[in-house]
Amino acid sequence: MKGIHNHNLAVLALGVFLSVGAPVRAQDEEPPPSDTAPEGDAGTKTGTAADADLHPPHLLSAPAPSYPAGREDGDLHPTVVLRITVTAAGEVTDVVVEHSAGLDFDAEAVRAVRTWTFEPATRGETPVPSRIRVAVHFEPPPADAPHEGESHDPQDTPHVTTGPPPDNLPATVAPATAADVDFEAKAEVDAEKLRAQDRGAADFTIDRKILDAAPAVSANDLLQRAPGLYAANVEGDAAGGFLYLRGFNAEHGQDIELKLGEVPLNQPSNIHGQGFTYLDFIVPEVVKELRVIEGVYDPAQGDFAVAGTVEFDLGVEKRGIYAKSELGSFRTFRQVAIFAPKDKDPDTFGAFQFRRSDGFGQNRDGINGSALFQVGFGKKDWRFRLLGAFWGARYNSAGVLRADDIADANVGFYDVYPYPTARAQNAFNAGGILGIHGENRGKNRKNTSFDIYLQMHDFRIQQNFTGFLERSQVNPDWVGRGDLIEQRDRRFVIGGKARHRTARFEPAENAKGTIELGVSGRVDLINPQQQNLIQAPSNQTWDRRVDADIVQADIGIWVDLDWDFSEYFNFKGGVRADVLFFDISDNLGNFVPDFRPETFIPGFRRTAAGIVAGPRLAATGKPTEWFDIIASYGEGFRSPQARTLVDGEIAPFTKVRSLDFGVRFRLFPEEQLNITLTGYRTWLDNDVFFEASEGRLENIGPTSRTGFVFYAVTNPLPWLVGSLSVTYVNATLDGPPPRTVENPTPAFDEGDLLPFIPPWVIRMDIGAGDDLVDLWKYPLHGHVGLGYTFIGSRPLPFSQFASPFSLLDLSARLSWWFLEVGFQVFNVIDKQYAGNEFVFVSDWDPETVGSRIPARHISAGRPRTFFFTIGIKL
Amino acid sequence: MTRVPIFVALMLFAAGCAQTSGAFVEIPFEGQGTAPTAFTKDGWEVTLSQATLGFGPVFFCATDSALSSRCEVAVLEYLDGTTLDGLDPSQQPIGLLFGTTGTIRTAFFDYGIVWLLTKPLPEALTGVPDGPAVVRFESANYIPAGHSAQFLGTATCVEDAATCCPGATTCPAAYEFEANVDVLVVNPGTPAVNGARTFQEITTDPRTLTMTFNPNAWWQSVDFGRLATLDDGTGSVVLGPDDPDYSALVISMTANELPAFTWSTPETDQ
Repeated sequence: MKGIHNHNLAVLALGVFLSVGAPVRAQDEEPPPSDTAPEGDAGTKTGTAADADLHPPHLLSAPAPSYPAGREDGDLHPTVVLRITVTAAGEVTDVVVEHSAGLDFDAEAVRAVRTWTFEPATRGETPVPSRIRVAVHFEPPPADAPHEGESHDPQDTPHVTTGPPPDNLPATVAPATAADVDFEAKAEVDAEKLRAQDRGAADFTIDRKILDAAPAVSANDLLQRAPGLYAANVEGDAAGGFLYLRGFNAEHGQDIELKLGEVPLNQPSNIHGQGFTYLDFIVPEVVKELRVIEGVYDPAQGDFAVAGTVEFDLGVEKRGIYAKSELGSFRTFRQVAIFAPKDKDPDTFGAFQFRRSDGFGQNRDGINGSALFQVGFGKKDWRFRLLGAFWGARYNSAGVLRADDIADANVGFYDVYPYPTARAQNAFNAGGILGIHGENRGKNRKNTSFDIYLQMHDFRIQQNFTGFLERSQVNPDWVGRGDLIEQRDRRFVIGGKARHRTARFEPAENAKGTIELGVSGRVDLINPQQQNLIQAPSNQTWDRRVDADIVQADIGIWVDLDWDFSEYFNFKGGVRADVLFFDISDNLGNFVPDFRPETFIPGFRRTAAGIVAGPRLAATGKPTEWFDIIASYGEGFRSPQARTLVDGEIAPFTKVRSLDFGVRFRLFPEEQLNITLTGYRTWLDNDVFFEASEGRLENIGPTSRTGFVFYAVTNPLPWLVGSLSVTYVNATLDGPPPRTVENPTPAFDEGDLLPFIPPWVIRMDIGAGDDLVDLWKYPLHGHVGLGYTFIGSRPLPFSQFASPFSLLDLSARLSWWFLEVGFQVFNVIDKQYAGNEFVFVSDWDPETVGSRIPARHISAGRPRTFFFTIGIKL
Repeated sequence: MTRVPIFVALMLFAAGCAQTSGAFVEIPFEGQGTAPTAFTKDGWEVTLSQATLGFGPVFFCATDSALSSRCEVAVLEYLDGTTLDGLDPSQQPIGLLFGTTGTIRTAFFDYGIVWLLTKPLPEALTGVPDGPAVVRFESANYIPAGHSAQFLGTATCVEDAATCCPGATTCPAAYEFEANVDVLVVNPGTPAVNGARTFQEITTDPRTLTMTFNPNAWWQSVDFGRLATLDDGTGSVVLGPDDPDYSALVISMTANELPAFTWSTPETDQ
């Protein structure tokens, strides 16, 4: 193992900041005082007359932490935020990591801060214990830093800044004497991330270490790390995945708010599915962390946050230039290139991704490419982040196969039906996103931010789920040409958000907090939205089903209160309201059938609007520093499909009510074991399901879910990291489905399970990486990773169950100097499984009478897939 | 035992017991004819000697509507063709209806000839009289092969000639009649019989469906006096597809005299 560098040489700057994120609190025998330490002003007295005698602690000595062993060449600039107790003797105890920068950085920050000494907080002249928040920022050593064993001249320590003490230290406090080092105070607390915590126990941040532990070649692979989230690829790599979370069949995103940073990705009123989201343009190597907020307890969560919210936060900790080529099974080739200027922060980078593949099995070939860039800039209080993403993808698709056809050997498990209208299935996706985020972090948790974004999406899919059932509505003589449905959705989106959080104020003793006000707006111009029946191979249109232009606007506002009643109890409560407007120009509306005389011109233009509001509440008890109890309640919504609305209708929203109760443990700070256990219940007033014959969603009635989530993350050794999530849900239909002419009495029994929802989702990720040996003065670094997924037996209609399955993925790589080689294997045991199952009527034999009984259909999951990778780092 | 383990145990137990509603079922399906019964109409005593029927497929649906487009999803179905003796009152096994539990309100079926969406012409199914075969009904030389029904019978004048053959100068005392019927549809993908009424709750409890055909009733719509005028002295008359009584026969089979549906359980069968 490589030697640890001299501490003084290892750290360029140490930022210490007496935080306003947590108030300075005197503890133990003394009654808790009011917070009197506004951000950046540790040495002054503040607060009400009752707190006039309370003075915060002051730092006396702060031996610098070491840059973690084995990380010196990584070019990382992380910040660890800690909450510590300063005793009446000025010593540090009860250190808790509040914002992790990786388990090894956390451990080193904890170790170092325990050696610091303070002038304790005082009430009057009496020293008292206090709780404060500090941020420890790491800078990697310069490349020419001497290694252990080499002599050095202490005078040649360029990282040590000299000069007057910072203004926020009182003149009465003696400067640090341990190493005669003056230090520079910087504001490093990530207030925005801290603010969002404690909304619910099931609020997970999955950092790069976990994301990197197991193999991943797409954003959907990264989603598998989220507790309880299962992503299935059904329609090819240009159409987005089918997502399941907390008992919700979110289809392509109807029940999960998906964001790229602060940019919302869900597409309302998309013809292929409400809330349709395409994620495969995201280069997984530049995802810094995945934020998974299960439930809807934050007023900032908007449309589609029914099961929760998933945010992809982008950033590249390892600075430099990185290029990787992957060559694998099914003639798959993937090229990735990333540049991350070394003198910039992790949020500044550029990335390119290209992939082509023949696909496993028949009719799954295609190509896609994407480019992402993000630039962080700004000075002092204002920080900006510019985001750009552009992509294109076209993949053929095998669609689905009848299970009985597979059983009868009429078609192979990885095949496609031999008809032109089956082989013509494909999807196309192209688009771009531009966004800018600006944030001003003031004193005492004051925060103002804004986001503006532009998006353009062009999506076209051709799919045939049902074979030969369709007939033309335009001309009744046109029948039996195959059910190749073409859907088109092209849109331009402009939107933005602004929020302001007040500085912390304290109107009374044991009552302090902030108020936040936020507004958001979004306009989608959908032109055109089309659905046709087309005949392969020349794509002649033989029926027109949808031809619409839609303008849809969403105006949101929220207010949020964040209140501490003591150091043991926090309450967060807010309300969010959204007003939605719809303008639908349905060019095929009032369609005149062929057998009726034309008495008007087809077309149906209409407008509608609606408003929805709901509370978002969370109460957190903190009896100890390592144990939280959190109870949350929230009401969210999903907007309706615009074309389902009639003129003047008060837009009916799908309302969700969600309840969570859970506990979080932070155990063994040195070893970092974090455990979350939460139980939840969710009610939905009007759920939808995928209607294969139309290729879109239809109403099913009220539903509810009850379940629990267990999630554990551990770093028992510096080179070993792991996570385990176990999610269970019982998802039921709470009322009979809507009556229809086709079925006036749909079947319903109390407690009926919702079909297709996996009751058990288990995920385990393990990564082990360390320097193995030095070769020619450069370390040979090895890494192995394992990802395991278990999907429980999914209930299917008519009292059937799908088979459960397990998937095992492995990876291994060696890095030396600027080279990296490795391999990834997905589905190591080559499990043949149905990635997704459906039950509906289809007729895939044009020679015989077709069945009208709903039958099982499957989309094949990925078989064993091997990738060899070679990369270069500069 | 603490509450958390109890909660977990209950969830595990619930997962093992709960399921979605409905189930797949198979129901024995039988056909039944009606014994030949002489009937008198307009002075003619008519007796059928043969009524060979082609039948299938059949779909039983939840909708009340008579539009076949309202039955894109069926509760029960039988997809094959079969031949039945329309004059045999005994139980004639056809096969198994396959489907799901649910409520049946209507039936949609064909008499052995289907016109698939993917085919340019109707086709007689395997298992029906003289099937399988393409029914080239648009041909000028089209002669129905009787895939749906093959009838033979006799008509005897039991009244005076003026009653049996009003307005005719001659009237045979008796004649044999023959009809080979192909029940066709106008549009592909539509059945010959739409929305036949039958109500039954289909559960997993065992039951049997018997369809009872009454060819005697179908022939009561025929004008035997007019048919008698078609006798060219050979003593036999063959109905052709252009004959109005051929159409009347088809209308009786597809609308006016539909078969009866009897859903029985093992208890009612005893």
